[in-house]
Amino acid sequence: MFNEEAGVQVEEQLVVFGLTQELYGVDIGRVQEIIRMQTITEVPRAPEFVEGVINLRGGIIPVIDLRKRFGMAHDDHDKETRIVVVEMGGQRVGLVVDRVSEVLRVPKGNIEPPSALVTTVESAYLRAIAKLEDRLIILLDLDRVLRMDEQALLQSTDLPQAA
Amino acid sequence: MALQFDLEPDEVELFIQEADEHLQALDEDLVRLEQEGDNQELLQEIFRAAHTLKGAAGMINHRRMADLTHIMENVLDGFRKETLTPTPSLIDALLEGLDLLKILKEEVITLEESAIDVEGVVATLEALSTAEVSEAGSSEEEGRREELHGWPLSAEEESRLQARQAEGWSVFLSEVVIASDSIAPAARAMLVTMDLNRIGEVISSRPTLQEIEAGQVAGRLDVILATPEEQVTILCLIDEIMEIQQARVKPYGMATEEVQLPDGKHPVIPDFPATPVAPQPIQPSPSPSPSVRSPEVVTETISPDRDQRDVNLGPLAAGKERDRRIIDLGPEARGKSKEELLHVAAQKSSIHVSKTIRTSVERLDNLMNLVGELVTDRTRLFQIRADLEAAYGDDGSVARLSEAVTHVARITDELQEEVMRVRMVPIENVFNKFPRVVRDLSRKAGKKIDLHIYGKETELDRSVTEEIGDPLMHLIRNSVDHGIESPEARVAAGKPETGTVTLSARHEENQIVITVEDDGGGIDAERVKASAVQKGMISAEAAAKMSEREAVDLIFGAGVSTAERITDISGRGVGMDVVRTNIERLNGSVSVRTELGKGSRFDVRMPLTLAIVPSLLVSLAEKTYAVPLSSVTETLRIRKEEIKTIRGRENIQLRGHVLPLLRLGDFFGFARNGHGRDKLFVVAVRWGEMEVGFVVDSLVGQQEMVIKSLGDLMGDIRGLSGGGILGDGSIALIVDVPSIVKTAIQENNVGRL
Repeated sequence: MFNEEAGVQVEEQLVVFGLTQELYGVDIGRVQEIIRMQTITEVPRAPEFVEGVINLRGGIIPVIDLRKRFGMAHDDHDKETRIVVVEMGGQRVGLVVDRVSEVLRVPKGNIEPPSALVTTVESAYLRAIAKLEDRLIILLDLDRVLRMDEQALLQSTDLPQAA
Repeated sequence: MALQFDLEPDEVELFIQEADEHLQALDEDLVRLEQEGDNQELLQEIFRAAHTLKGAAGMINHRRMADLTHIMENVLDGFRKETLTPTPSLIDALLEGLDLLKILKEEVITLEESAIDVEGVVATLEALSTAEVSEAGSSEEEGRREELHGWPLSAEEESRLQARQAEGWSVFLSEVVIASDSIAPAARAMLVTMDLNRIGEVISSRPTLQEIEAGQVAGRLDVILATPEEQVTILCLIDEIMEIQQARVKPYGMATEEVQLPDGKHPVIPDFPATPVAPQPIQPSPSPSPSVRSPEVVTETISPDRDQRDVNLGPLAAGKERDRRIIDLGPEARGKSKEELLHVAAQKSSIHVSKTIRTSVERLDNLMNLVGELVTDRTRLFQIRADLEAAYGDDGSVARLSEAVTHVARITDELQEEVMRVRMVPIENVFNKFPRVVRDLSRKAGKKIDLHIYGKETELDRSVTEEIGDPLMHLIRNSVDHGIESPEARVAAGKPETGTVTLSARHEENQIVITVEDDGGGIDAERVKASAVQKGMISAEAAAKMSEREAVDLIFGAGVSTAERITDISGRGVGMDVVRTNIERLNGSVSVRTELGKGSRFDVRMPLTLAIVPSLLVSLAEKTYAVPLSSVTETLRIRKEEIKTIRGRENIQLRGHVLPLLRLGDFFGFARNGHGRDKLFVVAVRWGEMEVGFVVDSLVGQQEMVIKSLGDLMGDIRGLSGGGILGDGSIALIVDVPSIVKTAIQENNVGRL
């Protein structure tokens, strides 16, 4: 939805998914599709946060386990587990999430930069926080989530386990 | 500065393609010319290519390109007329001109004037060519001209002609036959002369202007015309004049190279004075135009035998002269005739005329990808069929499905083969640039080298030709610079002064083998070792233990060079490692044989295509991996006891030699399962001169894998080059043999290394 006069988007449309008890959101424009968990082919010697690759209709796409990426405790995949396929720099990447909850429109006014309090190394991925009546949604900066050089940073820091 | 050219955006590509073709042809032919000297056929070919280029440049109004081609064409014309000899310095200048043309042609895309010294080369060529002419003696040339064309020019005419030539104009001899039934041939001749004067300068004519004015015209007019225009333009111009039966235009001073009206037959120019020629029946276009065109424009008023003509003219006879003109020679028709002329000229200039269409590589790639998908699905269909057959036996539907699957599979195979064939191009496209390279390099290095090329018709996938050029260039440079010795050294060693570099290509099984061989000094294994030790690549002890072959193989290591001095050709120790890396990245291999004092030989093996990799499927930790068959030499089943350790590294004996083993499971960090198993599967792979046995859990089968990238995100994963989809939809990772062997050597966990 657009504000006619200003010509700017006045709200963001997000795909909201869950990781542990937290809610995360990514811009819907970046999401290509959401698929059920499927067999992931492990890739030896791949970067640690890469879970493996999957066959998406004849194409091979890498899959990242976001729990691992964010240094969260591992959890077995269940029937709620989904792969959110996002577009990143021309290539498709699958993100393994605990569950996908909804697609939301959030007015821009409800979105603000992350406070210094939640700023840790991992906050490099955090773009903003969307405040809704009863919950907070962490908006991810996909480009940073997927950037390789962040990984080194992540590994070199003793990260507190989230949640 | 933004440039502007007279061509539509969609014509740019065509222009570039054509220019590229001609430039490439010139590149090769000029080098050939230098070697073969006086080869008139070759000279004609070169001249035509240069001429066509000039025409193309002129047509799009590319001033600098046209100027340069013009002077080059003049020089070539000099060669052809033997007023100039193709000396190395002239060839140098021409080649330099060619290089500039390659840059200039790009301006059509960039629309920016490139900062190159066109004028300098033009001046060089001019200076060289005039110097030569004065030496060659112009009186001889005069004699030739007279011999070729009946009438001598007066001093005044000659000086006007030279002045025009100096301006860069071309000189043509136009032979015009006026229709025998023309009631005013003198008026027609006058018209021709006047029209020609509009586009240039009439230097001389037979009959002369005075004779024409006096009405002394017998039906034929010969004009020597200096003009900045093309032959075709002159012809079109004359063509528009009424009552012209025949016209022929050829460059003045030459017996050959002429442009004629497009026709199947060769028109006969009647002897001078012209004998009356019977009017020929006119056929309505678009049937092949008769060689005699002008009767089409004969008017009722001036045609004495109108009735007969009307019969001959058939449907065209109706209507007024003006209408007929429009039908026959209206702007579209004229445009077309010019096009046809150009087409004829183009065909004449091209040696191979075949029915082809141009298509973008991108489309072919897409097609290849789609076929790749189909190949995957075919495998999958087979699997499903097998499942169904197992479950339902010989059920009628299953049988019919099975039949359909077989058919689809066969069509898929054929389709794949066809698409592959479409993408196949002769390696000629790659080889063609090397004669020039060798020539330039050897001149620079002060060496005498003959380049022999064999098997340039050998075909391979376009994707491979694109990638193979650079590695081959390195190898050739290496042979010229390090391989072949200086003429003095060669003579001292009792070899012929002129060295030989041989470049050849051939098919061997499913691979193309390209060989670069020289009869130079060979590679000194000791020196390579010393260099490698000095660079810290290997220890002195390791070097001492190395076989000569292994030592020579070190030249593919980074930083190793045997060149005593660094030249700008090679010798910086970069190159050979890049060669190997690049070739291996393409699932190819490169190896070297050398004999000190006798020469070296590099063999490059490449798959015919990069898109589809025939692979051996193996199982590792219950997952399927694919090993490109191009690297596999054999598969073995061995008993555990056969494994012998040498300093803790596993090896087996294979037909008398030691095959170091590498456990792929360990390499990829899988836990060893079935450790206690009695039998082991070994896939022997070749990497350069080295053979390694990969130990795998089991062999699964063979499949043509459509190779797919794992994505940039993965980065460069050691040991894997991509993935492919298996029949059941699961993914098999494709093993990168060179990378595994190299990594294993570095990590020192492979057998006897």
